Amino acid sequence: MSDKTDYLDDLIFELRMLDVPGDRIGQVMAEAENHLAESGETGPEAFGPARDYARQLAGVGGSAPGAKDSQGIWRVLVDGVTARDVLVGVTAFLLCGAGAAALINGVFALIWDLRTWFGINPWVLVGVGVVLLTGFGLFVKFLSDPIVDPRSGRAVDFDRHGHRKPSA
Amino acid sequence: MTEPNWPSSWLKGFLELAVLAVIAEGETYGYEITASLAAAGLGTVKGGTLYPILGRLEEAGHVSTQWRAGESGPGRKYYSMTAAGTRELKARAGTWRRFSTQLDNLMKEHADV
Repeated sequence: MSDKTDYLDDLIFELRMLDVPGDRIGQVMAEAENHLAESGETGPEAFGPARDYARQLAGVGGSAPGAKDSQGIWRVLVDGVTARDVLVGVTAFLLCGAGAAALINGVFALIWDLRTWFGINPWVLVGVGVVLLTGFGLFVKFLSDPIVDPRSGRAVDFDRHGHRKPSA
Repeated sequence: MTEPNWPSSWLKGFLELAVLAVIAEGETYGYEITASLAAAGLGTVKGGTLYPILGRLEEAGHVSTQWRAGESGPGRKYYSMTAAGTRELKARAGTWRRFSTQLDNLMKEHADV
């Protein structure tokens, strides 16, 4: 694995932690990759440490409150979790949990002729379940903020270790 | 020709202006801008210094950008001046020249050259 690939993966991670939007991350990644290819430098030579460069690009001077520190899971949880994150998490849980519960309750009632919650028509439960789960799916899609490479117009995929998968 | 090593505190003050002046000469992209700055005698400007400046200029509306594919190689992000950027450059260049003239008068008798 080349030096340059690791540096850009780190840079992307740092930018994510700073809540930089996905399309901006894609632009930064593409410009940095182009620059390194033309200058022949390594990432650290051209841009300095990934975290510092990311903070500069995100307009963060020093350590700003609210910027997620990538060092240590506790710091992320304590400093990085905002009220918005909690709201998103609760909403996702309600949509997914209630949707699944309604759907399962309705389906079981139909298949095994069981009594449903509050005696609600099982088809209604199935319908509500499908609607809520669809809502959950859309919610996740809407929030997912993909990193798009502006050169190809395609989203960047990552493997389990956080390395960019090469595009076809 | 030796590469100048200007004090970084001086560069900090006007590098953004120099970058704007380079872009005003014609649509260009990141790496090419570092080459132009070096050719203009301003020394080596690292990517880590340049791209945050370009980001600020874009955000301020002084430059506009466009991703365009090259004939060979990947697409690049090209920078060009906006009308607001041209006005800003004109104003700041004027201020700079007045400032440097005053400073130059002060320095004249102390310098060898």
